[in-house]
Amino acid sequence: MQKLGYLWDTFSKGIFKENPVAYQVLGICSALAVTVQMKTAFVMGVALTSVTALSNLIISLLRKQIPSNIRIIVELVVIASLVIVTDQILKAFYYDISKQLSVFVGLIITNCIVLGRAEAFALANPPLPSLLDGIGNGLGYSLILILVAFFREFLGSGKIFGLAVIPQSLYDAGYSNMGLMVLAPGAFFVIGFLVWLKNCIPGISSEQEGPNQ
Amino acid sequence: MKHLKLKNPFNIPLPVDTHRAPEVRHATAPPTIAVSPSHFRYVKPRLLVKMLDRIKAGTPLFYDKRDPSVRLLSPVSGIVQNITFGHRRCIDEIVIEPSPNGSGPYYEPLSMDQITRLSREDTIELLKTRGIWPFIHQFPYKDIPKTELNAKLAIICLQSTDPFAPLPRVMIRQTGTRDYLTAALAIMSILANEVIVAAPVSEMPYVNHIRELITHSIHDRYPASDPKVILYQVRKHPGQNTALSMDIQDFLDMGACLLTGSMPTTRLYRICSDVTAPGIHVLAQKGSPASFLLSSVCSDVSKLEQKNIVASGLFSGRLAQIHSHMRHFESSLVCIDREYPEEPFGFVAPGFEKASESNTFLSRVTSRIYNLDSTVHGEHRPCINCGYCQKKCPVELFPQFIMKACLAGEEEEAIELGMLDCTLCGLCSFVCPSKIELSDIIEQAMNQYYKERVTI
Amino acid sequence: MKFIKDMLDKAAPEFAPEGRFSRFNALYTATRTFFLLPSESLTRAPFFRDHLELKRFMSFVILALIPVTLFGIYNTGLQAGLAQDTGQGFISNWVTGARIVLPIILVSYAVGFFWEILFATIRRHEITEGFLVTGLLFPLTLPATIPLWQVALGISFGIVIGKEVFGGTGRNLLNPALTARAFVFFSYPGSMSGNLVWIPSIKGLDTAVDAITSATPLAVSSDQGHITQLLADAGFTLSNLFIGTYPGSIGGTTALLCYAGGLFLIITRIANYRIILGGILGLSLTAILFQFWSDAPSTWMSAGPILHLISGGFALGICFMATEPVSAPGTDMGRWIYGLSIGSLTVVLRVVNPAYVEGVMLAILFMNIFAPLIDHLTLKYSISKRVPNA
Ligand code: SF4
Ligand code: SF4
Repeated sequence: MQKLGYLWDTFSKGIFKENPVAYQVLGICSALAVTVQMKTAFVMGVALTSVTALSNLIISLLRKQIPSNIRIIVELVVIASLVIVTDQILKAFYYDISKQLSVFVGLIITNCIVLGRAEAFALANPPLPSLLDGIGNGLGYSLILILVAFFREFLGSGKIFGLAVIPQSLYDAGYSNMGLMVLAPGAFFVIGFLVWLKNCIPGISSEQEGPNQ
Repeated sequence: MKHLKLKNPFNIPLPVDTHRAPEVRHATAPPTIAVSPSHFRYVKPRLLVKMLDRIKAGTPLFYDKRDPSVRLLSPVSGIVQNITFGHRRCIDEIVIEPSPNGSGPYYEPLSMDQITRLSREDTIELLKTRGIWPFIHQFPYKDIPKTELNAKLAIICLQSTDPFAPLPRVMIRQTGTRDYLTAALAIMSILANEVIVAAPVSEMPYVNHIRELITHSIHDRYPASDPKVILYQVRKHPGQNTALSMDIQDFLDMGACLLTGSMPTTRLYRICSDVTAPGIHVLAQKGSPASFLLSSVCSDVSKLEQKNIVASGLFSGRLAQIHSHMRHFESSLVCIDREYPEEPFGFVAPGFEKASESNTFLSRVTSRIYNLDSTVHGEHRPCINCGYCQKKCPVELFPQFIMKACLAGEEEEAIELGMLDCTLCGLCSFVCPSKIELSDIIEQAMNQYYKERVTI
Repeated sequence: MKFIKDMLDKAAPEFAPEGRFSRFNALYTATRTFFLLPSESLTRAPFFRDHLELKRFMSFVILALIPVTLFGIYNTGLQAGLAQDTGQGFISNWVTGARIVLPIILVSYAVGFFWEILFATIRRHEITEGFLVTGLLFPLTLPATIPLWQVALGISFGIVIGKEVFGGTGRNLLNPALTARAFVFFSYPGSMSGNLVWIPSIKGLDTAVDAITSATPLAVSSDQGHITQLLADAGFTLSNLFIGTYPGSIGGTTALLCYAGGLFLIITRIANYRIILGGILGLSLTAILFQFWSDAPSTWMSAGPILHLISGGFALGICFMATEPVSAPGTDMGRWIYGLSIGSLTVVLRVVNPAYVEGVMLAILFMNIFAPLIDHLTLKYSISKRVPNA
């Protein structure tokens, strides 16, 4: 039971309490770049989650074998391989989306979340928790990405997953889309708001215990 | 004689400085007098007397735990009637009931010749035994000077910092002042390499007979006569930051004590029972009660209890209880209204009557004297960075940045911004439209800094 | 007055710490002090204080803005009339203008006030007066055709993101009114575009979006002729531009009244003259420089300082927005630098970047962000001039 609780903690921490984007402020650049539409954000989330999960798993399995002075290189080799595989899969099956995501899939290699989790967690923990931690963090990232993309797509172009949801009659009545949301600063504002919101909800945030509060 | 130009004078006409034909009265003997240890900044007093002790003039009342050779002597003979404690058990007042025929201590009088031949060590020794040493200030904290320090500069101003203080012409008119001044200057030049004597321009015609002793003339307006402002204006290198200064009355008393052998027991006070009046000069026993001084100029003192009674000037003074006694360095009392009516739509009223440094009041075009009152005139707000405070600072600081640094606990930054140059003149607090207690915040930070860094 | 005082006194206990509405104490205090300026007794030196307080400080900005607002109302009516080709009488210009402009101002105040109260209540701080200025300045930067919901959204953004997230008045990095305007500008370029401005038609009052577009002076360009001539041909003579009887943002067209307001603020020392003069100087110098180098007489590059000074909301921006003290630097030298930079950036933006011809807004926001840096550097510099004391 206790073990299960621990595993659940490991998994859920990444989603809420220590959400990589909203709490650790990692992976911001891709969060800005791919969140104009929900579709791309979703695919990016899936890609990142699988890369993080698998890299965490593999590195955790190898953790006893990796000499610590070259561990970064080993980690990068693992991550890079995974990323290339992911990129190829996307190109093979979802060419359109892969085009839209352009370099950002490739740039998962440099995404701090992947390397960060490998360094901070996988190197020191057994495979199962590492896998869960990877999935949790990946999901946490995806969650924020999709939320941001939801607001940006909904407010910026009146669509959700590419489907127009705001009726034409509303446009006729004078409504118009918020151009700011399509621009990169829009993502900053949405992320800022989400962080603010998260910090206002007691229990989720651990910020109150910080030394400066 | 060099004239020092004041950068940011206080422009509102004050009643005390327009009426320049002073009236002088002599007060009778007060029922009690008091000495206040807590008034001496940073001193850690150790009492040497108890309640009901019979003491003589010149008996040490307390010494400073930081330097036991620094003692404060009783100005009169009498009985210790009460010892009152204030905030955090600091000793507020040692109340003494003077005996009617007590005579002062008699030291050996010195001739001018002897004075000039004194060595540095002997001078310090002399000043300490005669209890004068604690009356000397050393910058930047206005602390009692460190014995080992050789000051580069000493600054004496004939007019006290406080614009409500007695006028130099009254003080200098008294007999012997010229000799006392010369003797005191001789002592000062033993302690410091250079001595500056400054006098306001408007007082110059009245102090003609000591003209050759005066080195600088200064602006009439507040806070030109603050020695720290003068220091800022003449300062050439950092070594001068630890200059000495003395209140002019103490300075004259020092001269008198050396030449005649006895310390004068009276002090000139200026009492304004109404803030719109120029006030009356009263010669009274040092440490007299406020109520006693007020009764010598005003028939009905109880009426004044409705007002704020401020000792040593409206700008940097202290709120005095009517039954409390004058502190050593204080030489004025001002009574000022404690209330101001809630004003309907006050924020758009044209304001012919309102004392203000701002151009938003029509009173700026008239230059009459306003009835002042001791209220905030507004509400506290966050700083809006308007820069008014910095436009009034006589030593050209940036009060708002220093204040922010102080509040953020960034002591080093505050110091770097020149916090120690602050004269605590209070003008920044006066003008601030957000009603921020700038000078108060700076003073606290300065005391804090002193406690942490200087006294270890 | 007595009546109001009695009423306020009666309500006081309800808002006291243990009263029913203690949460809304900030609202009560704000209301009360609006009518009755309080003056509490002092316990700390100095024992008397200047009569100037923040309410008066801010009211003077509003006072300076009133002529601009009135002109804006009149001009809106006038332009709406002219667009109909018929023109209207003096009185009906006012009426039409008021019908278009007043709702915008009201919405701005109401929504802004809502946020102000919300934050004051939750954070338990006072309602500050700065908002009164923001709430009026923002509508003045908008075209008269702006939909009201965009006004509401804009002012919300300005107050919340521009001010409250930083901790409220006194801590804001950006000018809230300009933040609001920038938000609307980038979010709804259709309503705000710098190239075209919408003139409300009289009919438009009923059908909301039926409006006529025309080019703003800043967007006038052609291949031939000189810019002054081109402008005059398009109906923008110098005197026209100076007085402000042309379509544009509500308060931004009238350079005359804006500069008059600025002068009033300089005389009362509410605004710092260094910023305004610096801005005018910076703009003029840069404009002259461009004119000197310009090889395209028909563009704004060769417009020269006078035209730059009187067109495109520069007057409103430099007199009322740039001088907002909180977001400007706090040292004298810093204010000069700030003003000069705003002036020259405005010209650069107008001339070099045709996408955002309305340069003054971006110039001010840009310099807002640099204000702390300017402060830091100028403070360092002035400290280096002092005899050190430590
Ligand atoms: S900082 Fe304020 S109190 Fe200090 S000298 Fe300047 S104006 Fe006076
Ligand atoms: S006068 Fe007051 S509000 Fe203005 S800058 Fe100074 S501290 Fe800030």
